[in-house]
Order: sequence, then structure tokens, then C-alpha cells
Amino acid sequence: MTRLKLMVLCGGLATSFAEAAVLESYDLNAKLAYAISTEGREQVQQAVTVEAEATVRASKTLLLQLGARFSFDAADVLRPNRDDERIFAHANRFNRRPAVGDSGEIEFRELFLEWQQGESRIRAGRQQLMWSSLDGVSLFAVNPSDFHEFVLNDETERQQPQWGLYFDFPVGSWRLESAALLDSSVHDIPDPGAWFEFTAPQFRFGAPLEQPTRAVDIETQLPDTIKDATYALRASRALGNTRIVFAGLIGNEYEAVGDLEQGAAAPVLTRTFPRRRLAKIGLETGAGSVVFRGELVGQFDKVLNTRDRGDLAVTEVDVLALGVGTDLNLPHDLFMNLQLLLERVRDAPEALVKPERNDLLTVTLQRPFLYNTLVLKWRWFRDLERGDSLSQASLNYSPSDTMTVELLGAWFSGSPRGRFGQFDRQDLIRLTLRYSF
Amino acid sequence: MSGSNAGSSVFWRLTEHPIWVVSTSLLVIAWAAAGLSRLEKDTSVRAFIPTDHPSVVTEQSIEEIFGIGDAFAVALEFHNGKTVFDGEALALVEELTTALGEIDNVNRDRIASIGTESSISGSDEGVDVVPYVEDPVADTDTVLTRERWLEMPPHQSTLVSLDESSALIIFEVEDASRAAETYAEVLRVAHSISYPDVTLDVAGPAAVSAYLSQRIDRDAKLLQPAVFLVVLLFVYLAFRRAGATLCAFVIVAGTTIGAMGIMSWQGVAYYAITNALPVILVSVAVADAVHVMSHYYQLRAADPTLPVRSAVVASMEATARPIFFTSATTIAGFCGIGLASIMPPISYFSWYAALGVAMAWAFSMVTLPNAMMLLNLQPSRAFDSWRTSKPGAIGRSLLAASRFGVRHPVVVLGAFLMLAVVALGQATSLRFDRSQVENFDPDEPIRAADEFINSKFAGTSFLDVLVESSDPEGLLTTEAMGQIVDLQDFMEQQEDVVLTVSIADYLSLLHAAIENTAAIAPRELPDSSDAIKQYMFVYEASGDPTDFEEEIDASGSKALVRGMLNTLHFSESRKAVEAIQQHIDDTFADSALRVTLGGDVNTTYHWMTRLESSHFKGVGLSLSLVLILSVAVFRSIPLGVLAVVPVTLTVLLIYAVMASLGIYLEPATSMFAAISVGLGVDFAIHLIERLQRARSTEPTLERALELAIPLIGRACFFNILALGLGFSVLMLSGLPMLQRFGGMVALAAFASFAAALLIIPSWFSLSERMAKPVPGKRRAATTALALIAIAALTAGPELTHAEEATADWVAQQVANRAEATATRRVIEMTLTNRRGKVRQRQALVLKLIEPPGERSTRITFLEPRAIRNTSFLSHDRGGQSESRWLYLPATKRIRRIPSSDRGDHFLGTDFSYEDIQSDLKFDLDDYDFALGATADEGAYMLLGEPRSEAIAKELGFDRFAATIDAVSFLPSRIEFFESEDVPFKVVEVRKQELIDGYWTATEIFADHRRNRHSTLFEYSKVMYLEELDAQYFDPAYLERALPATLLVSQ
Repeated sequence: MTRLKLMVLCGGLATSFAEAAVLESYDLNAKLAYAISTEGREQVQQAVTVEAEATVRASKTLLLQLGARFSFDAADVLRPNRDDERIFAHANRFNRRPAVGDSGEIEFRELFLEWQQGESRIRAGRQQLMWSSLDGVSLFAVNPSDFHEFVLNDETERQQPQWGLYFDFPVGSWRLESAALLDSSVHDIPDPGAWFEFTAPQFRFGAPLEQPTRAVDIETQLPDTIKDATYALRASRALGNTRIVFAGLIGNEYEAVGDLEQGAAAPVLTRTFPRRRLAKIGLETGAGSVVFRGELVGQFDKVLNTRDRGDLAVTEVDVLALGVGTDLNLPHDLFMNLQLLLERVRDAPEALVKPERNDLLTVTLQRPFLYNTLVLKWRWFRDLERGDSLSQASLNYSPSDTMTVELLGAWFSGSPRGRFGQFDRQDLIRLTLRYSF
Repeated sequence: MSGSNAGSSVFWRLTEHPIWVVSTSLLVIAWAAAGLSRLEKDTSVRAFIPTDHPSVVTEQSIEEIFGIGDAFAVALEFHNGKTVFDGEALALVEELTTALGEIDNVNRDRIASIGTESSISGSDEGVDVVPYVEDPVADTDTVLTRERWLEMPPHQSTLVSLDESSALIIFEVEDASRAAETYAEVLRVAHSISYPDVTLDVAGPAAVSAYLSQRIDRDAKLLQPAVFLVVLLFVYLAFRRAGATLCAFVIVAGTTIGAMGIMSWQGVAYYAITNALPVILVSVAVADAVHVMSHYYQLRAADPTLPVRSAVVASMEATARPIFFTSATTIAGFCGIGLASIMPPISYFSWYAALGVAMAWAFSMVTLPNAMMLLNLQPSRAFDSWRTSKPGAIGRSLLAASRFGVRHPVVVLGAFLMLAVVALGQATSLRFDRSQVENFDPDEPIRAADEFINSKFAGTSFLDVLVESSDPEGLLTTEAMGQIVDLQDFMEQQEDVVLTVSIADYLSLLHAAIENTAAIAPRELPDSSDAIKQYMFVYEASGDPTDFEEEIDASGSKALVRGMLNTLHFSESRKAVEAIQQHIDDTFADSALRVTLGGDVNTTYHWMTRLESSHFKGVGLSLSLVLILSVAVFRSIPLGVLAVVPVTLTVLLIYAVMASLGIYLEPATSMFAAISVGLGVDFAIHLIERLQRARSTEPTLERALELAIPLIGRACFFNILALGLGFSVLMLSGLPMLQRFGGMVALAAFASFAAALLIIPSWFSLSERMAKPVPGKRRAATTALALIAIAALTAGPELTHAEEATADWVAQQVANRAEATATRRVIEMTLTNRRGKVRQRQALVLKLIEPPGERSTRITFLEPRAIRNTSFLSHDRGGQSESRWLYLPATKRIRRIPSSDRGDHFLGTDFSYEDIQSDLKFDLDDYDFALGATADEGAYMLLGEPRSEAIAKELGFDRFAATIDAVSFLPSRIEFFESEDVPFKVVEVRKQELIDGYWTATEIFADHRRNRHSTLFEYSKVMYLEELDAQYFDPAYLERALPATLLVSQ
């Protein structure tokens, strides 16, 4: 009966919305991607992706935003075992991606109603929140991410939208944004066998390299949609030439903590996602051809695993992360972005699975040619503690306003224990064709 | 102490005759002190401009010819419905005018009010010049007086406010140097008169200057000794020995009295900013003494049996080198300011500060060791911990701080880098401005009075124009008077000029009176030169012949046009000065009349513009000299640069704080940066020198820190505490000017110390981690090359340019082309590449010019789909700095983006950012203009060359040739050249329209011939608006879609 009432209510709302609705804009984009590994000449990706977006306006203040993505990857290397991971990463049934055959699926990216009045805005539905100011790396992630293509795609492409409410309104000179995300999604981590499977010990609860991935049975206890909801608040304002940001978040972790127990046949690893509390201070400023941004993020009483001779336990520690970045316009149209991220676990016990220091340097150089129709970009990620790196070069050519061709190469190097070195043999070259209808 | 090396042998010899050395030093101090009696004060605004500057010469001429000086103004405001034209009110004005006239030093011939002035009117007999107030006052017909006043425009808003509620009494003094005591007497007289329903306010430029001078003197006399005492108190706390305090006193007094005394002997006046000199010298001198004595007490604590002389010589030996370095760099810093400044008080300040630092060094090296021996300084309890070679709590805390830097160098240097960038960002909003009354608190009566008078009357700021003819009675012609009237009309069109008064106003009144008709329009003059001369004669016969002596001289060849401005800020009055000067240059260039600007507004204008052009050059030169010396001192480029980094940060911080607190850069505040350089660099040099020395003997950097930091850090800490708290005493002053001075210098001192304490160990740590040995010869060669490069950079000649008036006029007309406050338009962009392939874009462009001089531009793309809703936003703050943001819908992020060079391609088109943001105007500061030949009669050919290579590089071309439409002053074609004779880019305005009164280019084509690429901009839906919602230009809301009304409305 309740469901019927809900359906009637939704039907009524939809009907009244549809009566006044006008299709304000729509986009239809297709992407063909073909990737091969440079080492084994193996086909890694043969994918076609179609994205559709539409904005429907019911009145001056009310609109509906819809976005969906259909993807089909014939190679099935990046994302094998679709059934398993879909359940794992998208426990909320409204998040599930309907399968299309063995290799295809449909995903609702955005589906929200937005009410806007003056400078205030309220959104309800499935949406993304980008609250990190750094490029390619996020110290303050509100939404979880999909790592099946590691970090080769843009953040918006890999970030997972979530269901929830978002409020945005001014208070004096401050802009206040708050969100309540009733969504238990967590990071979409590639499962065993996937091209970008995380094999480094720090991502496998400290399991040694030689230990096979499937040596244990795995159970997953996903967070509760309502009880473990995420609440986030951000306040920002301009101070002269500088924008400062304060933010806080309480929600569930997106990376699992493990608990190992001896099962009937094999050990059972239970993955849980405890609560997390984050606070952030950030700023962005600039002078002339230099822009500077920085974030200081503290995560308090973060639950992390310790491992002592195969025994997993948990401990609570504070983690501090500082990220600074600068954009520079150099001579000869050269653009450079430099970022330094320093992460420290305070009073880390020796047996901690996560490294005590996690320092990362990223360098991006970009140069447009032929009136921005051809863009060369080189990006380098360097783990300063473990010395491993990812070097990524791309050439982007737009023969017309509707078509873009991108050739991207990614080279990983370093120790198999490192976040980049674990993919030392996963170097790839990818050709992507994008077309906008 | 063996005394075996060169340094110790010098100090052994120097300390052989302590009594003689100290006595001689005291004699030198006494001789210098005798000169202080000759000290002359000059707190006038004019002192800041060289005496031969045209603005000063004109001002003196005006004073001599018309007897005009700075004026006092007493305002009477009547309440409860009473007006000035009330019998009792007029009587009160008359009574007060008489009382003020009886004050000693008030020039009785130069007092004006409704009680002293007369009106001009016509009668059957001719001209009636009738006083407004009869004698006795009771006989005055107030209704008639009001009617006569209403017919006298020059007396409206000057003698009586337009709403008739307030009257003004203006008078001058005979001796300006006694203005302060006259001000006190005026207040006494004003307050002695009691009358119901009236408020009295005393202000005016002379009163404001006098009051300010009086307050500065009073506060300085009270607070400067307090600074001195606080500094000595902290010296006592640092050493807990009266002898040490006495030694410090001798050095501090010797330095301060010595430098100030020599200044007096040389006849240099004591200017307003000289107030800061003694406190700077106190701080520098005490620093040297603290360093020497810290070392001495440490040695005595470690070995109490050490003979005093040995300990003194050893201390001198250890500190002589860093003290020499710090003195040399501080002197270099002040010399930089002295060399670059073109304002005499600032130059003198810098040179005598440099002299004082040199004297502090000399006294510290010669007198101090002998005084220490003479006073036989005993070990101090403050250094007890050194008996076991362990530092005290302060030393340990400073060691812990520097250790943090060594252990986390990236964090520390990153944090300071972040701070520097933030400070730099903030500092860009710093501006040059000045308002005399803002030197007082808002609740000071004189400030309230000045603001009241400026709001009710035509203003107390005067912009005078001296009009001269080479012929006697040359101005008493219709042509000359007509030009004066035109000039007055132009002046009154300027925003802040409320009223102008000249002889032409009175001639017009005489004309109306003699013709005995009301049909004569204001400033309408007779059409014959003879009539003008006759009118003057008639007036002399009817009224007081001296009535016009403030407007025209007796020979009729020199006249004064007085403009009254009610603005208090330089930033506002400069617009009027520049516009009027330009008008004079344009209008009177070929005239027989010589016209020059004068008045306090003009003096302030020249004063401030000179500061604007020299300030950053001075600070840059100062820092460069300090850098060169530091590099030479350490014989290392990195260490030289390192020594300058904390002080550079401090300067940035000072600018940032000033910008944040809304403190303008003006002569007084412009000294903050110089003082910061002078004070700040010392700590860095001491720390580097000591740390470098310790590092050469210790196996690890941490060990070297333990050896170096506690002692040198403690000495610097007490030095900084003494300085910081000493200067903080100035914050107790009631004058915001002194409060700012105290606060800023204290901040600079603390910031320099903290920055040096953290940055220097961090840098040592980082450099050791990354160190690679560099061969000595190579290092020396690199050092030499760097020194040459720095010298070449700082000594670069300034480019000069010859202006050509006509070309400048055309450029000015282009620059003056009207722009609306807010604009909305849609651009269709068509980009064609070398193969003829076409791309099209459509964008909505919003522009807002508010506040004036600040321009915000938002471009939101509408087509094609791939870039729809991509938005670009720029905030251009008067060409000083530009901030840009980009919103890409695909990334869902509003990104601050770095600014490009102005010549870079604008969003991938063939237009440059300069083409778009200048709105097809040429920045007058950027180019030297000339006129070229053109076949088109309705156009000018304007040629422009960037004034410097830097500007050319930024703009991306070496010269341009623009065909300017003579009607709209829009360029119809601009050709841009580099070295070749053919243009590499041509911009054509293919279509121009007059929309809502604004000439608008609606079709512009840019042909980049070198790239064989072109862009066509077609504007549609152009709409000029009075305002646009500021939210559209707020970067925080760039992601928001624009309302449909902006897209569809025409």
C-alpha cells in the first residue's frame, strides 16, 4: 500500500512536471576506445560508450537533470566478473547497473531535481560533488571512485554519483554548501583478474606479494544506506584575491578494513567500511601567470589495519594530508601544473598496513598547437616514498568541433609494492575517438 | 684568549685605553647633540616636492601675487529650523568673525564671511556694492540680505550653504609656522561663544595640518622616549645587569643623537617622516650591542675566571664579522631607497638612516668594548645555564623551532611559499592614496568638522589655475575672459569639482548690475574689452578696491581661477587634475595666455604621483643591493639569496597586511617596506653566519643547530622582543598614523625573525639532502656572473619618450570613448584555418565596469554543444592585476587559471586578450604615439610603439598602425608589426553602429597573416545596461546557468 501511495505521488509529481516541462538542452556523446598493452600486445579495451544528458526545465526555478551511460567492452579485460563487482560497489539497489549481455551495462549517472532561487540552490537525486581543488588526486573525496581504469580518466569520469540532497546558499559573504548522501556506495576496486587489480600489499590488507589473491574467502559488510549516510558541509568565501574553503565530512570509508578469521575450509576475510571524519582547510589564489592552491586535510581516528605475522587487527590513528599545487603559464604557450601531496599517519604503529608516509609529486606539462585543435600533454606521478611512478603522455586532436581523437600512453615503473609499480607490466596505449552528436 | 689572529689583535689594540675611547665617544655625542638645537621643522606637504618643481613654483607665485595661503574654516550650523538669514544668526556670524579677526596671527585682511562680504547689484545710479550685514547688525534687513545672496553665485556654497542652514568663516594666518597655536586659540574663541541651536566646527587645510603637526609632535615627544625606555628595559631583562643596559644606552644614544645631530648641523630639516628615524636607529643600534653582549655573557658564564678584557675581545672577535655584514646590508637597503626616491624627505631619511647604521657599527666596534671593560661587566644570572654549556628555556625553544625546520624542510618551505603566494595575491590589491583627515580617528572633532564642511560647502580642497598674460591688462579682454569662463565650465564638469570662482564671475555680476537686468545669464560677459575695463573701474569706485585682489592682480595680467573640491582622497581628485591639465594643454597650447595649475590638490597630486612612480623601484633597488651585498658577504649565491628571502617575505607580508587593513601607500606608510628591509635582513645574516660556522665544525646539521641557535637565536629573540614591544608602544598613540607605524614595524620585526628562524635551517637541511659539490672556481665564476646580472638588471636605463601632442590627443580621444557600466552581447565567432576550414562558436558576453576602473568580463559559450556552458571570467583591477577563472562543465570544477600575456591568443581565436579587454583602445601608459599619413580625410593614422621591451614582449608586437575614425574614434583597421615591414596581423572593424549613444564595433575581423588563420566576431543583441547582477561575475557561481532572459531579450 505504501509503495502504491509512493507510486501515485511520484506519478502525480511527474505528470505536473511534464506538463510544464521544456527540454532546455540535451547532449549525446559517443566514445570508441581501443587499448593494447605495450608488453604483451594484448587487447585491453575494445569499448564503445554512449552518454546521454538532458536538462528539462519546468519553471524558472525548477529543472530536472538526467544523464545515463551505456558501455560495452568486447575485450572484457578492464572489468571482468561484472556481477560480483556490481553488487560490491553498488549495494544500493538504485545504483545497480543493468547488464546488457555479457559485456555491456547501463548506468544512470545523474538524475536530480534542482530548485534554484537567486543564489540559493537545492538538489535532490543522484549527483556528483567535486569538492577537491587539486588535479587528478583527491584529498577530500565526497563521492567514491571507480578504479577500473586506474587514474587514466578524468576525475568526473571515474567518480561515482550518489543519491542525496544538496543545499547551496549564501550567508553574508560566505557560500555554504551542505550535502546528505543516503547512499552506501564505496570505491569500485577492480576484482582479481582485472587489468588494474590492486596487487600491492597496502591494498590487500598487508598480504605479502607471493600470497595468491584468492587464498581466502571474502565477505563484505557494506554500510547501511540510512544509518551510515554521509553528511558534508563546505563554507567558502573570497578574501581579496584569495578564496578560502573550510569543509567537514562524516560518512563511511570508501576503502575497506579487513578482519581475518579462520573459516571452515579457508580463512574468511570480512571487509567493513567504518565511519570517517574529515576536516579541511583550503585556499586558492593567484597573481599574474601563477595560480596557487593548497589543501590541508585531517582525518581523525581513522580505522586502519595492522598486520602482525598474518594476523589482522585494527587501530585508530589520525592522518594528516597536505596538498599544494601551482599552475604556471610559461613562455611559448606552455602550461605547467605542479602538485605536491604529503600524507602522514600520526603515531603509526609499526605493524600498520598503510605506509606511514605517503608523498606524491605530480607534474603536468601541456602545450596547445594549431589554435587549440592539437594539444600535447605529459603527466607524471611520482611516489616520493617508494620511488615508483606513472608517466602518461597524450595527444589530443580535434579535427572538428564534434570530433576528438586522443592517443594516450601510460607507463608504470617501480617496485610491485608501490601504488604505481604494481602495474609495472600493465603499460598501455589507448586510442579514443569521441563524437558529439 | 691568545690574540693571535688579525681580528683579536685589532680589538686588543682598541681596548688598550678604554677611558680615552669612551671619553672621546662621549665628546663626539656631545658635539652632535649641540647640533640638535639647530633642528628646524618642516611638516608641510610641499616639502615632499623639490623646490624647483613647477607645481611648487606655481604655488609660490599664487601666494605672492594673490596673497593666498592655506586657510582655516569655521562653520556655524544652525538647528531647529533656524537659518543663517535670521537676525540673531547673522549677528552671531558677524560677532564671531570680529572675534576671530582679533586673534594674534590671524590676517585681518584675509577673513571672509557673510559678515564681511558685499553683494553686487544694479541700481538707477549704477552699481551698488552693499555689505550683506549693516553696521550695526540690528539694522540689517535679513530678507533683503538673503535676496542679494541668492543673486551672488560665487558666495553660494562658500559663505553660506545652499540649504542656508550653515555659514562659513574663512581666514588665513600671517605666520604659517604658528598655525598650531592659532588653531588652539581659534578653538578657544569658538567655544567661548555660546548661542542656542548652533554648532561650531573648526577645520580647513591649515587647521588640519596644524592639528596633525601638533598631535605628531605631542605623541612623538611622549612615545619616542617610551620606545627608548622599553627597548632598554628589555635589554635589562635579557642581561639582568645595569651595566649592560648602560652600555646599550651609550650605543643607542650615540647612534641616535649622532645621526640626528649631524643632520641638523648640515641644515636638513626635520620632516614629518623624520619621526621614524630615531626609533629605527634605536633598534639597529641595540641589535649590535645585544649580539656583542650576549656572546660576552655566554663566555663569562662558561668560564667565570676569564678576564674581562679577554672575554670582551673574544666577543668582539666572534661578532665583528656578522655585525659588519648586517650593517653593510642594512646600509645598502637604505641606500637603495635613497637612490631611487625623488622626494627629499624620503631621500634624507634613507641617507641619514644609512649614516646612523654606520655610526651604530662604529660605536659598537669601538666604544662598546671599551665601555664594557670600563664598567667591568660581571657574569649575569640570565646566562647561568651556560655554565654547563646548556642553553636556557628560550634558547631551547628556539632550537626546537629550528629543529622542526630541519626535520620538515619541505613542509616549512612549502608553508612559507604558500604564505608568500597568498601575501603576493593580497598585496596586489594595495593602492596608492591619501587623505589628510584619515590621519585622525573617525571620532576626532577635526575630522568630523572637515567632513561636515566638505559635505555642506563647496569644499576645502583647492585646485587653483593661474592664468597669465604677458601684456598689462592682457586679461581684461573679452577673448581672455571668454577663455577663463570656458575653463571654469570645463572644471565644473569634473565630477569632484563643486564650484569655481574667478574674476569672470564678478564681471558677469557687474555686467548684470550695470545693464540692470536679470536677463544676463551667469558668466555672461560684455562683448567689448573696453566695457570690461570700465566695469573694473566702476567697481573700484563703488566698492572696496581690494575686493578682487584674490581674483586678479592690479595690472590685470594675472588671474586666479579657484576650483573647490569636496573630495578628500587623492585617488578621486587625481582624475580632475589630469583632465584639467589635459584640457589646459590642449586648449592653451597656441594661446597667448600662460595657464598653470596650482593649489593643494595639485601639490598632493604631484607628490603622490612621484611616490607612485618611485616606490616599488626603490624597494626593488633596495632589495637588489641587499642581495648583491649578501652574495658578496657569503661568497655564495644561494646563501646570499637565502639571506634576502625572509625579508622579502616580510615586505610582502607588510604589503598584504596593509592591503587587508585598507592602509594606503602614501609617503608615511611607504617607509614601512624600507624599514622592514633594514631591520629584517639582520636576523637572517646572523643566523646564516653562525650556522655556517657551526656546520663547518659539527658532523651533522642538528649538532650545528644545537651549537649555533640557542645563543644567536636568544640574542635575536631579545633584540626582536625589544624592538617589537618597543614599537608596539607607538600603537598607544591616538593617531592612526603612529599606530600603523608602530604596529607595522613590530609586525615586520616579528615576521622577519620567525621567517629567518624557520626558513634558514630548513633550507640548510634541504640543500644538504640535495647537495652536490660544486668546484670552487666554478662557484666563484657563477657568483661573479650573478652579481653582474643583478647589477645589470638593477641599473638598466629608463626608456624615455618624446610625446607628440596631436598623436596623444587622438590616442586620448580613443581612450575617452564612452563605455557603458554594463554590457550584454552575443558573439558569433567564425574561425577559419589555412585550409579554409571553418569553425563556429557562439557566446554570451557580459561586461561590468564597477567600481570605475575595475572591469569584469564573463564569456559563456552557447554553441557548439561540446563546449556549451563553458564559462570564462576575468576581473581586471585597473590594469594592476588580473584574475581569471574557467568553468568546464565536464570537470564540474571552477578553476582559477593563471593570466596569460596580454598578447596571447584569446580563447583560441586570432584576437589577443589585449584586443578583447581593451575594447579596441590603446593604453596611454603603454605606447609612444605618433601620427602617420592617411588618404582618408575622415580618419587619423595613429602609430604606436610599446614604451619598453617588456611591454612589447607582453603585447606580442613591436608597433602598430591604426586607422582611427574621426567621428567615433573607433579604429577601423589596426596593423600589428614585429620586425618586418609587413603586418603579421590585421584587425578590421568592418561594421560600427551607434547603439544607445555608444559607438559599438559590431563586426570585427582579425587576420593572422603569419599563421594564415582568421577570426570574425559578429556581435548581436548588444544591450547597454545601467547594471548587471554582480552574481554573474562572482567566480563562486560561475557554474550556474545564466537566466534565459539574458539570452533572448533584445
